[in-house]
Amino acid sequence: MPREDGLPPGTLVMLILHVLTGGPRHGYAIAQRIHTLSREELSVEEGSLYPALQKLLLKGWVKASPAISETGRAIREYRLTPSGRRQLERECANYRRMGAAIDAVLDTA
Amino acid sequence: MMILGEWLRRIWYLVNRRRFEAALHEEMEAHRARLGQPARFGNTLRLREESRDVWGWTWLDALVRDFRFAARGLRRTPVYTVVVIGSLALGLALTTVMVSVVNAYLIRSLPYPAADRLYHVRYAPPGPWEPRGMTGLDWTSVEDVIEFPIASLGESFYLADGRYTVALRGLRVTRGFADGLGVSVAVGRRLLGEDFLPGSERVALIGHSLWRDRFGSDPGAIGRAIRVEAESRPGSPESFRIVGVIAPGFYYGRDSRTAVEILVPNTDPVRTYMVRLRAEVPPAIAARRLTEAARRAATSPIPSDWTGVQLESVRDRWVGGLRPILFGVTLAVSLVLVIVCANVTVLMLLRSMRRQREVAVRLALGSDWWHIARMLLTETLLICTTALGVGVAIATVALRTLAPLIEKQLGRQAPDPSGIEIGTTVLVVVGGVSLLLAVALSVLPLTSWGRTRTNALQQDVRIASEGRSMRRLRSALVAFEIAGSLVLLVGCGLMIRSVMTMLHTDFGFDAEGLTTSRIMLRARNYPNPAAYRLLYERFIRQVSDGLGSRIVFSSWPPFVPPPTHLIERDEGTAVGAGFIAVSAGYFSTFRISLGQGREFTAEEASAEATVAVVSETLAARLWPAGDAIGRRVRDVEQTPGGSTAGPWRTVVGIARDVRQTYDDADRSDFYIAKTPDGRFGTFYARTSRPASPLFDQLQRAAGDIDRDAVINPPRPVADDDQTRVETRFLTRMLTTFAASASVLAMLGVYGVTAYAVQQRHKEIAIRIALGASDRAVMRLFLREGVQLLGFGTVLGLIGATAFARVLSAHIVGVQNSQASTWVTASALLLSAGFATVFWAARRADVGNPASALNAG
Repeated sequence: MPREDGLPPGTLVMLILHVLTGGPRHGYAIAQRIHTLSREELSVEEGSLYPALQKLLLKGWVKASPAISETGRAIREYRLTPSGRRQLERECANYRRMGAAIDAVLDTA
Repeated sequence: MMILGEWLRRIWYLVNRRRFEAALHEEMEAHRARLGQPARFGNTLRLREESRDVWGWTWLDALVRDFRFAARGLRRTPVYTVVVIGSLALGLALTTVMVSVVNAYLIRSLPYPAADRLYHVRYAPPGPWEPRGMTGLDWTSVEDVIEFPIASLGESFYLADGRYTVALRGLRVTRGFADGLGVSVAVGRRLLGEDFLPGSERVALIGHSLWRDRFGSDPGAIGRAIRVEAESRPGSPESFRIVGVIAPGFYYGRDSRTAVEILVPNTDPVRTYMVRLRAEVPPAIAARRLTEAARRAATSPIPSDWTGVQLESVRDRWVGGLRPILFGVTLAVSLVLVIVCANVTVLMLLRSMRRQREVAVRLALGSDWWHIARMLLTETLLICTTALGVGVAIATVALRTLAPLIEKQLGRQAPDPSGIEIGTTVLVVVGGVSLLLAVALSVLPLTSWGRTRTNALQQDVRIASEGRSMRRLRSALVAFEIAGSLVLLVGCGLMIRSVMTMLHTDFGFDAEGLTTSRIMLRARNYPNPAAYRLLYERFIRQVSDGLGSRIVFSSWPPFVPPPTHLIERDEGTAVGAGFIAVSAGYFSTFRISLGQGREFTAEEASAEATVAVVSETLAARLWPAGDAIGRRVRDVEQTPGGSTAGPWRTVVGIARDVRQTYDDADRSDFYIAKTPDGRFGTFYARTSRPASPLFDQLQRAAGDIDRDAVINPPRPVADDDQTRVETRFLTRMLTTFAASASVLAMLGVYGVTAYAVQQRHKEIAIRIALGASDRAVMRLFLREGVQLLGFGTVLGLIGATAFARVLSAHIVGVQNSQASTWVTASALLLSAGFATVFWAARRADVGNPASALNAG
């Protein structure tokens, strides 16, 4: 399992897909966005980001296209595909269901 | 659908890998540059590898890496590589040729649709009698088991062709024939249902060679008329419109070496001798049903001992006789292949010894056994695949020359017109063998490395580290090679003896220089037997004068056992003997010597005089006292329909015994004097004239007497000795195999001895330093080599016993008990082996022992 310090296991893919709903981004921007949106609670290790992005490309949930970064370097921008959007919905629903179930257990004495 | 998309993306990645990886590298560097602490990014190389692994091509990368490594390793040892690939290629080439032959004859089916359901129909055991009325057999009563009754009438069609009449071999066929055998055409159309309807236009298919020779292969021949006269309808020429040309390679009939040249629809009642069964119908059931139908149709009484209708698979009759010879060949080729593998294994084991250090280093660096195994398997796969490619290429080239030779030697063509070729089946089989070889060849070196411990790094691997079990294994392999070579050598020796025996077998007549041909006359020209006789006598006189030597007629050919008649002497004793009717001069032409009395005169043959000549054995059986000349004897021909006695004859001569086959047990023969008095006559002449001018002369002589007479091209009588032809073929092949196997075995012996010498370099130096002479050291290796040879020879003799038994069961003239063959073969192999060991052991000369020890 990739090292996801601070991230609940299995949620990296969901988070990346969600971040991309806001438009195409490159790898650094994706990591920054997750860090920002989580109020600096979650921090994605680069060691897990890029293998995860390859998995998203393989599954066809995102597409990559060449771009130039703000610093003028050659990068790739990732954009969400329709099947990626569907996968995101599935993963969110799953996560919420799990969360509710865990809450239910914890709320019972 | 999603999985398909994923795979397509994987493949897209593989094709564009370099570009993607370059882009990822740039991306990661850009990301890293933006981090406040670049070190936080981590090891970019490892990250790139992890990213690459997501795409799932890691295994391919490892495979390619292993192949490149294996190729580099093999390039560094060119001699080893060439020897191993060369040996395997030869073995695989032999295997490819053998599998092609077996595939062509025993596996591929005949070139007719549903050929496995085709059966020959026998109404009675072989012989002249058959139940009468079979033309009236009601096929509709058995149509639930018989799909097509395939019937044809052989017919000679005469085509007047300039000076000579040409006889065309023709068939009048039923609809079942056309549909059931699926006669295919090269040009034009096949025979269709409407061609068989009464009153339809007379159409014909012509043979390929007829189309080529008479019509110059012109497609315009379709639609033209051909006018011929059938032998069965003299005086009524028939005109047919040509609708198609039969595809080349369509053979049909008893003598399936003659192509059919004209095929016409038949409307007359005909006896059916072939059927195609319906699917899933067992032949036994069909035979029983046909027997009942035959009984219903019979118009003459059927004897109580009638065995009923028998069905024989068409394929079995065509190739059945070849099974023993092909089995023998398969055995021999397999043996050579196994010897090749043993040789290659020995070489690989020797090589694996040298790589022990490398393996130990890999294990120490963290590699696992699976990786080591994969490495070795990749190397052997590379070797085997290359050998396979080279072997198949050699076989393809070789088959171009060998295929027609093999077909000639086996005595019949391959059932399918494409002949002996390397098709998909062959490639799959040989590819499978090659794969198995690769796996098998990897196993032994792996087990030898299995004993490597990591402290092998610390020891000097070159001194006695290989272990006795490894040495024993190698010696066992080489001993096995020696044994295999000896088996082949003994087999080869036995076959050579068999051929020599055959060449020296005294058949009782002299076939060398004897030529045979056949004359065929038109029934319409000859009102009675006497008219035929007159012609034959004139023909004999004309040709004998022209050739300067007499020609003779015989009712039965040599090399074939003649029909048996009962020969009765005047006091009632009767014995069975071969019955042959011959014209005057037969015995002198065939060079069969007469022990007593004389041979027939021309007048006696012409008048069918009541005289007879008996063989020595028959004379001894009928008149043990030895006074056969002048005695009275007659023959009785027996058929299931009854027996017919001939006239009483006087014995005028006793001829030397004649064998018809190599194992002819019964040499009782009975000859009567007779000039032929029928449509056909087979004649023999002793002449050295070449075939073509002889043919011309015979045709002219026949044409001068009867313009309609047809002569077959003459051929040497010796060619009819099929057994000798087959034996020679097998002998040549075994000789090649034995020679190759012996060379390989010697290579193995040399390799093992030379390696042992090299390994024990230090030991030799020590021995010499301690006072041993060079000769004493060499004797050390000689002794070990001789032990190996001895062990291999003993094994080989055991194997050869079994092989000889197989050979003698199937090949004429081979006897196990020919001690000289065994002794010669063993002596040959042992002397070659000893010379090889001696040559290898000479390398034990170390020169200065001190420097040898220091060299380390």
